[in-house]
Amino acid sequence: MQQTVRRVTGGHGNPGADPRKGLKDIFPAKDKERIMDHIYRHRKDWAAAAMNFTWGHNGAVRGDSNRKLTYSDVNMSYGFGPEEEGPLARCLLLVLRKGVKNKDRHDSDKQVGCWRHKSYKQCSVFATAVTIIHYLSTSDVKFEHRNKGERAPWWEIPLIDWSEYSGTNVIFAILFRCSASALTTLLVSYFC
Amino acid sequence: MPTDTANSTSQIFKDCGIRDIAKLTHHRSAALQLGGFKGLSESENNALTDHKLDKHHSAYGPVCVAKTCKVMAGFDIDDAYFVPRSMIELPNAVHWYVRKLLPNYDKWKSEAASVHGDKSTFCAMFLNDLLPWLVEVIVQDGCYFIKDFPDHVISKLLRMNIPAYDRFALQSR
Repeated sequence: MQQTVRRVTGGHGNPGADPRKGLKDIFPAKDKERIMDHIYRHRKDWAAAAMNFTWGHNGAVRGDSNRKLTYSDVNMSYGFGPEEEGPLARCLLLVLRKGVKNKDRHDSDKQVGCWRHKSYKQCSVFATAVTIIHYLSTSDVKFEHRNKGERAPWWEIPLIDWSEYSGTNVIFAILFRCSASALTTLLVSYFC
Repeated sequence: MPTDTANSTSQIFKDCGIRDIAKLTHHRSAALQLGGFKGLSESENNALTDHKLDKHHSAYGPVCVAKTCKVMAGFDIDDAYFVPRSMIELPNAVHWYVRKLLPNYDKWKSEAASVHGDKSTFCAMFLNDLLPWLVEVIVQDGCYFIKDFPDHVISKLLRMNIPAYDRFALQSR
């Protein structure tokens, strides 16, 4: 029956869903401005939200990949900027690591770069700047690398604090995931 | 790259004060990155290497394409890239602002240079190039930010740490 409905109406499998569900569109610029305005004006997680929103919209970085970025994934180029020389030669890049860390599962490390946006509110470079400068001005970071056999601790600082962004406590999230996984195992073993 | 060539290249880069290890890879890759960044198509770029195109796809595609960066920065393809905020001249040297906003900056640099310090090219880039640039961006864009979001923690950071920032911002807007 459901397949018949899909053939007749098109779209996805839920006939009761909003008919516009799943359709793609472009975000109007004024809506982006309104959202960024709201983020900077009202959100306590403004840094994470601004990073996630601006890099998503300007760099098409997946949210899943965004949230796994650490400080070692920030890069800067003097070659990919708008001009060949001077201050405008600079370009901010994010490194998307190969392997299962990112959903796209590249077979080599990739980078995505952004130039300064014509609107500062929508600018990924500004969002990154306020996020990093605010973090560094309020945290006790050490630029040390004592054990050369391991990654330096400061490389692993999350660029986006996922627990803050999602509004959940990390320990709670882990416990929830573990319990969800345990529940799935239980249900599978019960019914199969 | 044969070892002698690699050693020679490393020495030349070192003598020229170029630390970034990423630039020490094949010159050919750098050429192809430039071609792709400027908008050469894959087949046009491939004319340089005569590799099979699948090699181009897997290894030599440009990290950035100028046209893409421009469009994603809010411009049309045929527009000139112009962001007036980036032209705001700072009355003091950038490192003056870095030390105002990040009072531990000199301590971090000493830390990185110490026995147990992080001597990676990444750390050098982060402290010497990236942080000063990010501070420059905050000081420039902050001229508008403090007007739009006067109560934001970043506005307070700028006002508290940079003397007469309000006046500078007002004059620069």
